[in-house]
Amino acid sequence: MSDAEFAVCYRAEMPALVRHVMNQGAGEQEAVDAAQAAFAQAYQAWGTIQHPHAWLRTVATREYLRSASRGREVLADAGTLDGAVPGQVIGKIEFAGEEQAVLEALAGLPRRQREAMAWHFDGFSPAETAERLGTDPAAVRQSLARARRNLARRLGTTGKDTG
Amino acid sequence: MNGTRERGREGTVARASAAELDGLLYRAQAGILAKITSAVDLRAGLAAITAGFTAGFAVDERAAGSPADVEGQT
Repeated sequence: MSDAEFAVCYRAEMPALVRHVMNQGAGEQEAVDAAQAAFAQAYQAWGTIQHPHAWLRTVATREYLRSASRGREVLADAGTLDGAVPGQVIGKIEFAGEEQAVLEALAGLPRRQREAMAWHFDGFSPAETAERLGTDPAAVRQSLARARRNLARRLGTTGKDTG
Repeated sequence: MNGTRERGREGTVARASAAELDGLLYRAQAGILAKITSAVDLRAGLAAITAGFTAGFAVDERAAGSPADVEGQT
């Protein structure tokens, strides 16, 4: 695939990729850094990637988890890290009440539940998510059900899960 | 009969609550995406990648597993 196709993919996917990482508990700058690092790796391997939509999410999540384990103070100096690419956030993003509440509720979920919800929000079925996460669809469905119950409780909706 | 009616009511309440939760989650997700879209400088981000802010990735990829490994996982 060409540079032009990469550019189209970048413009179309970058915001959703940032959201995907934020849905897994990252702050906006962490998420932008992880997404940017994933795209930088994708650029080098562009001709070999068959499913960029899923590939980018897998790599961006891995980048976030790696940088989170290194510590936030290291991430703040990401421009000097080996392999890291500076992020491109303009200022602080101000999220509204519901948006902030949902991000905080997601951040409070166990990791598997956060992952399942993040892929679900991006339109992946339980079977597709299971394939990406190396688990089985029943486990993903169970994580989604538990996540929904937890989110309902945390967000103050009375929801019982229906499926 | 009362038990059946009660279960029916619980089912209705559960569906309403699930719809309420979905509404909240998807409204929030749409809002989050819109704000990220307006806050991230896509042109600068793309330029940074294509201009070569990628030095060091060869080393980094080996440490983390190659893109081919990731593709294999997916």
